[in-house]
Amino acid sequence: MTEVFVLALLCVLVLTGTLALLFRDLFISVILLSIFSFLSALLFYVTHAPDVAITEAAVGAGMTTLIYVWAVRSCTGRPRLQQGGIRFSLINAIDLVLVLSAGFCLYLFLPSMNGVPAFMRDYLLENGYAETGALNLVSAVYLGYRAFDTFGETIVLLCAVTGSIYFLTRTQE
Amino acid sequence: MRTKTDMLDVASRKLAPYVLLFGCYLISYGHLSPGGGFQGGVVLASGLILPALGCRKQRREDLLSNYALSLGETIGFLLLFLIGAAGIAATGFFLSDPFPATIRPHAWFIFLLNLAIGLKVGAGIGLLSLLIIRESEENDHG
Repeated sequence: MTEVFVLALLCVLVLTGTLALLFRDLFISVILLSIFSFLSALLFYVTHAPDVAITEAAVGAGMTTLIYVWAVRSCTGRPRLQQGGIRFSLINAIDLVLVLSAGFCLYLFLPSMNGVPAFMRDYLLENGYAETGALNLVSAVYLGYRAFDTFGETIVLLCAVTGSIYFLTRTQE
Repeated sequence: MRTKTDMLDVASRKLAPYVLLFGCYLISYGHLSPGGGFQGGVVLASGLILPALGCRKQRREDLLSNYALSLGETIGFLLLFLIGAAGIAATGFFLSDPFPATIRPHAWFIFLLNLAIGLKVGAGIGLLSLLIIRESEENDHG
């Protein structure tokens, strides 16, 4: 049952992504990408990755949509819906073929990931709670065992926010 | 020309406290259930900008000051650094668990890191979104 649902969800994801590539109006593409993110969050939740699902729903569907809408609006002005419709061209066809073949290759190679050695997972399951005290093993990894990586990530985020604030407030003067 | 509709009111004002509460839950229960500092911080930021989307410029700047948000981000990063430095003081390694392994409950280190990261991410992303909203508004009028 779950596998059928995942397969149907993957097909809808391919359809949504293709439509987002084809639509002439960029606002429709942005909203389609937001729907894409929500469906991906559902997919992550169904495949037992709720942490990633929360991140995808909050960042992919929330923040990214806000930034895309702002970017499209600053480039093209107010939303105009009369120029809608779907366009087909050679470049679109090449894009579609490239993306679909990349997805197909991923689909072919992903099952071989099952051969990853399981000792790391077993170690975490046995000792993760005793060593870090966190029942949620994902946060045990990214704040306990890999806290250095998280520290670096926050520095990257700090730099990104600082640079964006500099450019956003500079254009106002 | 821009009148306030019920839909806008519900989405921007009535929903925001629940989103904020959910963000606090994600941050403070990050060591027990799915969630954590990054996810909860982004949810906090979206709860902060929901009321900002629904009201006028003057009211929004009364509600949320850029200075307080940037202060929150800096304090979050300093807290993170201080927790790491406490690891140096206790065990000699940066960002190692400064609490002794015998205390109960045992997840203080991860809980504090989640709090610091949640404050930092929430304030930073909220500040970024507020600036984006203000910038696009000025482009409309100018």
